[in-house]
Amino acid sequence: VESLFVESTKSSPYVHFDPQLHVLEIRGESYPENAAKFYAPMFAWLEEYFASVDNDQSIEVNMEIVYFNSSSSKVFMNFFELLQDAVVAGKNVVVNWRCHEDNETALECGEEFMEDLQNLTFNLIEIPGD
Amino acid sequence: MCNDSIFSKEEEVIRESEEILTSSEFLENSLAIHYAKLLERYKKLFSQTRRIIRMSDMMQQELNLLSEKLERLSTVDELTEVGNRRAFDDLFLKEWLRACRRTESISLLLIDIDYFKNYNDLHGHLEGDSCLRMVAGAIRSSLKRPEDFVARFGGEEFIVVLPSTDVAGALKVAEKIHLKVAGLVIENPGSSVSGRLTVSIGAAATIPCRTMDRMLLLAASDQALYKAKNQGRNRTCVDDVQASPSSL
Repeated sequence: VESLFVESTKSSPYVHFDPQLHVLEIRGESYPENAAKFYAPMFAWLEEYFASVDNDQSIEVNMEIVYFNSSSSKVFMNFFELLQDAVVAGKNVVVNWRCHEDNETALECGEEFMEDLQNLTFNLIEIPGD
Repeated sequence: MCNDSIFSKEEEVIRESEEILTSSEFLENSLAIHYAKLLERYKKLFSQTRRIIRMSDMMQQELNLLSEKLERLSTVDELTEVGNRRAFDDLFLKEWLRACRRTESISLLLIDIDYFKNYNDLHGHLEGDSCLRMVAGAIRSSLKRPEDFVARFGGEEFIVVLPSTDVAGALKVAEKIHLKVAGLVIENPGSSVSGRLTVSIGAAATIPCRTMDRMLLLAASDQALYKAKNQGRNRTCVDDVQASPSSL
């Protein structure tokens, strides 16, 4: 599986899925015109990736989303469910939901995502302000 | 139950489904387990929908706060906290059109602090800033009606829009402003007027019509301000609106 790399735009995040380091990163803002279409290549990539990695592989998911629209939040839920399935299948997945300590909304949203999940390690990480 | 919930219909679906699933006729049914699973999936998706809406509301709330902040930043003069030039442009246009529709008088007061440069040179720019804030406050407190509006027009110039006001009314407000500024008792030794801080005011009023350029009223207040300066400052002068925009 080759790494997946998508440059950020004003309305869509930077995406870097690295199959060598087993680190998946999504950073930036997410309100693409069509969230399903924008994230479709990432889901396709994940399917291929999970099929290729060993069952006990540790995988780190880093998300730092400053702002996202409702469609993106549904996509993220689907994404987390996919990760949950991977955990059930034996993989060791950790999600780090990163946000600035003064961004209360992003923190609360992280909590909402976390409460919706079982089986998946979901860390809320506050980045100290400068 | 839960009449205040926006999801009362969804909750009703869940309640009715559970009643059916636990009813005696359905307990015997071999399909019951499949329906029960479907119901569980629906409950899960429904709870996600609630989360999505909660998050969306939070995001929207934050955007609203941000938009209020931006609105303030784009219309308020940071130093003096009265309107800025853009706010004046928007409001003047709105009030001008309203005056046209109602065939009512509208007035402008263009206010300039006398010998402000000397004040600044003597006391420094920080004191100058504080002086601008005090004068802005004095002007604002001279305006009584909610529709009266003051903006910072330039460095030490302020402009007041007085809707539904003729020359006589405008002169009354101008007089009040002179008194309020005098009441601040700010020493200005560099002023040849009185040794205290004073302002000069150019007043202009008109009953506008649709074919008239509103800049004519602004030009008239500007001319009037020149007159006030030339006649010795610390006073209000009036200028008539010219028929043609030759003064611009």
